[in-house]
Amino acid sequence: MGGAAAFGSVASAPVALADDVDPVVTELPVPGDSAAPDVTAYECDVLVVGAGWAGLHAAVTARKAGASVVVADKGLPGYSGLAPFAAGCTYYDPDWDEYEGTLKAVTQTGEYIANVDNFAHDMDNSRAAYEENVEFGLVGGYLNAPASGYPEYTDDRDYFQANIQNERHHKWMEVLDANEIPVADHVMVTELLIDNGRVVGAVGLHFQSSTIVTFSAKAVVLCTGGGSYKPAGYVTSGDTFDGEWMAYQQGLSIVGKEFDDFHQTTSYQPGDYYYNNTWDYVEPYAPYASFSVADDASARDTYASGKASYMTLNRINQALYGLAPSPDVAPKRTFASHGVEKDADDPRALFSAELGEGGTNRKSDTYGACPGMQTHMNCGIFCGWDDHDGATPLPGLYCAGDGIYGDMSEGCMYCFVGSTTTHCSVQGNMAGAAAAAYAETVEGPALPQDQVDAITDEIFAPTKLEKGFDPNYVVNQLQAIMIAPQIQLARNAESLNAALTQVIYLRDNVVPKMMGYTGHDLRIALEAKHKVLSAEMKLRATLAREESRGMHYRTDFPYRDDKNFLCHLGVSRAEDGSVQVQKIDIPDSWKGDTELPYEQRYVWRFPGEAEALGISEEGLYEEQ
Amino acid sequence: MSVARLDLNKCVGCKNCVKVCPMDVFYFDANENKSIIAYPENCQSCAQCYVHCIGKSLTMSTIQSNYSIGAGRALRTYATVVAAREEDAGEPA
Repeated sequence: MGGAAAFGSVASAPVALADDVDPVVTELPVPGDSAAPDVTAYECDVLVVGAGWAGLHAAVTARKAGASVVVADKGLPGYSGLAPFAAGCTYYDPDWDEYEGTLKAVTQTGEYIANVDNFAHDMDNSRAAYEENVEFGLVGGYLNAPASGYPEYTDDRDYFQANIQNERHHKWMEVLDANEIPVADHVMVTELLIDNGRVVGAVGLHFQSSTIVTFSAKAVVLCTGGGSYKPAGYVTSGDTFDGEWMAYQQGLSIVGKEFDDFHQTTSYQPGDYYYNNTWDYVEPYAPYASFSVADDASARDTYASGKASYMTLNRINQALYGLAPSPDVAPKRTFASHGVEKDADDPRALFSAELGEGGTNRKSDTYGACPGMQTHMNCGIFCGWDDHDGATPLPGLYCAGDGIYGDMSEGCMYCFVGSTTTHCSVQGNMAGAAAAAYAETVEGPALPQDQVDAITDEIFAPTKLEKGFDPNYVVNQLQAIMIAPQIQLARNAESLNAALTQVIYLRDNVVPKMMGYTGHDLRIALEAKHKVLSAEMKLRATLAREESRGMHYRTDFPYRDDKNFLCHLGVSRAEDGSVQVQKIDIPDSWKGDTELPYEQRYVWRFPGEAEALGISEEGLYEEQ
Repeated sequence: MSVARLDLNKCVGCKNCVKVCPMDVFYFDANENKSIIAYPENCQSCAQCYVHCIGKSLTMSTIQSNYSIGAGRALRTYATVVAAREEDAGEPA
């Protein structure tokens, strides 16, 4: 596939039909399998699974280091996973930003379990990663939203076509093609191949043709993103914890399962990603916001409280008390409100709060767009706190990016909007370089056919049943279980155990009985299986953390417990096959000043926290 | 909400939708040279297909085709009942 040339554009379209032809709204029948891909067996030095921000950088960096690289993606690179919907990036600018203040803000806002070392590392490399994204052709920007010309179009599609040359998404494939990196697109990689204690490749399913695709690789970099349970409303659907599944099967430990992100949506139309977020998709990817918290305690207190209000307390309040009615009941075209807290006339502040005529603020009055999603940069395979390369304990296996590299660089909060793609780009570079270097030290592996056969049987198991369950049933049931407010937000041991009972039922009695006839069915079945495991891991980690911290709130333990939980929790498979949770110590240097009085360390209150500890209620929480 | 067909006549067979959809919603009929919205129940309403459809054959439906609940829900009748009452009483909406 080639970049923009592979895509039809309006300029090349044939003449449209006359308007007096009656519209046809009936679909043609769903076909059986589509054509198999030309290549179904790959051999390379480095396999990169997932070509989002992390995967793109991993692939290009490994290639530039001299490795032969293949990318596998569940969709088409540039259009799959969360990567297409990133709106902007943050990089550290010494003339503009505050280095020390930012690190201290991460320490405090991340509630003293943030990997400040990796945050600093990514910040140090952020400018270079940003410049690479510029080089890839992915970056652009306007002085403000109206300057783009967007408000002049009543039809987003016309604006999109008029600006097709600036359009960033097709440039993914252009970059991969330019670097001679073959892409196994629309292939879902499901299991790793292991020989003599090292990774030797992977197996995937080209679902549109129900074809098995094998990868023989000296090194594998997982850039598979995270996942969620209700993705309409925020576009995490393509991410279904696939990398987490693969790592867990190999005995690796997953950290950060207990911290849940949110994204806002509209309460009257919660599946409404397009209308609420049009601008994020069609605009260029731009630098905005910054690492700019001033280096004084008051600024950091304000920052931490503001973050808490926006990301945690508002949604806890909504879970406990509901919403005020909304006058808006129809979706609207909106601009993203990426305000920058700097002088709007400064050219570096590429987005201003001014929207101009024809624009409206983004309407989003509730959380709930993607329950179950990991907090950005705070979940994934545990690689040891000294690691910057995404080198997992399994030789040959690397990881990079949101949801799969568990470096916990923002602790238990999402501290800096726009930092996600920064982290992902840097991490991709690190993992790509490390994987390429490792690949030079090992021989090309032989494909373990017995493992391929076993994995193939597992993938096709749903086709062998005469009766069973629709995989979509599992996905829908899991949504119902996992997105209840008492599981997502205001949780306690009873509610979590109730959910766990349900999830275990799905795991043991429904997942093994999923049936399917088409490659699409098989894909949904695999994704359902991965999501059920992820749900069990999430519930067990949430039960184990008997305190509240950042984006983890327990009504039965509504306070931070530094004595017992200034640590992370790793979830892994025990000897007996069960899911186990273990504490992982963290460096003292992350913990801030543990001698400070509680109210100074933690400047905002969870509901019930002050009462439980007998301390002042002062802080950001307000009962409605 | 999800993608829906506005007019199949307008599909020009460019396959953009099949290529860009991350959710395997679209398949293609090579004989008819038309896309097929095969699995709308798995649509995540990202609208990548919609913006890339050069024939303008698709629309984004506001009818929820898959189970999706917001964690909170605002009272939908506010606009039609309360706002109307306030207007009658001469109060700002």
